[in-house]
Amino acid sequence: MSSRTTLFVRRELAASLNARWFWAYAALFLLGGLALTAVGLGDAAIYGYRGFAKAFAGLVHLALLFVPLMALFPAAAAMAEDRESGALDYVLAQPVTRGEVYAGKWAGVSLAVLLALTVGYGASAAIAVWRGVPVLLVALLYVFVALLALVFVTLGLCYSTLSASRARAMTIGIVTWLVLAALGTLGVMVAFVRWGIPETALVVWTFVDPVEAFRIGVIAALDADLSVLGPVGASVTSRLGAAGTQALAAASLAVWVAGVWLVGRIGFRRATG
Amino acid sequence: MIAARSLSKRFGDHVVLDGVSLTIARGERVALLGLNGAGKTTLIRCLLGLLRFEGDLTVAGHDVRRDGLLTRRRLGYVPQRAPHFEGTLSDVLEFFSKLRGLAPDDVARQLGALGLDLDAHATKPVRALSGGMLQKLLLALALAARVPVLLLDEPTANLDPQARKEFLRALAAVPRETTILLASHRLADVEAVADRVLVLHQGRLAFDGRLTDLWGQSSSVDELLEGALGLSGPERFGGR
Repeated sequence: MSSRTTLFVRRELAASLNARWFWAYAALFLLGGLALTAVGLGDAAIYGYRGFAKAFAGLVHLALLFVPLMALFPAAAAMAEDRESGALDYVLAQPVTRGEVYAGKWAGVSLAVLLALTVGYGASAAIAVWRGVPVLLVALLYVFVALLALVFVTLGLCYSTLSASRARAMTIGIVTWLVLAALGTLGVMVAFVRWGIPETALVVWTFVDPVEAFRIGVIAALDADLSVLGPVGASVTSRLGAAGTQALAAASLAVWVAGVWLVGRIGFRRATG
Repeated sequence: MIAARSLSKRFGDHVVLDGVSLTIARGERVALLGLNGAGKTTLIRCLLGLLRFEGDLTVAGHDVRRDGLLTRRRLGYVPQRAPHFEGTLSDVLEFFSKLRGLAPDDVARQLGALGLDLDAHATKPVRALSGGMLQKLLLALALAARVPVLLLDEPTANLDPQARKEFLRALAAVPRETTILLASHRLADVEAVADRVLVLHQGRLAFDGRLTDLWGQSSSVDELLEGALGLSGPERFGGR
């Protein structure tokens, strides 16, 4: 990483740490995580470890609701806000490459979001480990949450680069999240029931949709049964096994980050008027 | 120092620069005049590599399109309106100083020479500073970089008379070997800075010569351009 890229990383990180949204998101995620952990530990006392797993699946849904929006908000602003204020042109008039600006902004926003997540998730994780949940499992869940956040940071920055305004970038980001989180899964299920599309197509969709990949990957890590996996998840884990499902889900998220990053980077290079 | 050959730029069907060819030598002080929309800012943005264009454009022997980074190392830029940066004056000064490889103290000294005391304003958010203060910051950054070419795009448009005087005084102190390309609507600025004038009209170079040749008997920029371009009433210059 060049020293100029590092300057942009530090600038974005400092801007995020000074923003109210950062601390609000960190606090909300912290409180939500603690509440769900408390429920999970209560269930664990009654049902043992599987009880904790079921309750902890609630954290998955909290993350699905929370993490994408938390990541989209600052990322959608990162490029578009500078463009709207004229700061981006002034920056690009300096001896710096577009690649350095793009990489620095991405890394800066990513670090800020991951920091907020770590604050929120860390407290729940510490309690879970203290009450006997394996460290490896807690770490694995963090990796999935972090990957989901990176997918949406990268999408947000890409939209921010290609959109005329921050508002438009944010709108497109939210629509993407809605399509992937709700309509995509629902649509595939409807198609499965209505037109009888092959089960293989459902399995493939699970790993094409990053939100679904995250959900299945996390639940597979929790060793959950059909009641939390759902029919598609159960089908996937029966074919690939829990470890295979987790690995493929993580790979899917990583591919999303890399692919969207490249699209945004190329778009930024071509964004010259 | 600056060479353009058949430089053209269009936005959709609108041609902004139409085959402009010009050469500016090292140390020349050149004013870029023209009506609103004549292509002055577009020419500067092409030099900075902010726009795609047709034709050839070089700065200090470097191809703007191919060697953008090398080109921009040799350019200092002050836009018409200072952007709204996030952070305090001190943060912004430090960020851009480091981006250009300058010592922040050098920029602070330059800022002091322009009449802006960094100690008094260092912790103020940039958004709270006046446009004039920000322009001084950008000029200080450009001057401290000691670049061979300064691109000034109507830099005094938002300055009060006192700030304008200080700005022009600072420009007068720039080493003679520094090339200055100044787009301006202010005759006083042109007189104070330039010894050569380029007039752009409808994307073409309509005049290239000494200020005195263009000046003639005109008493204002309006008259000056009317004379040079053969214009009258409605199509007048945007400001004074």
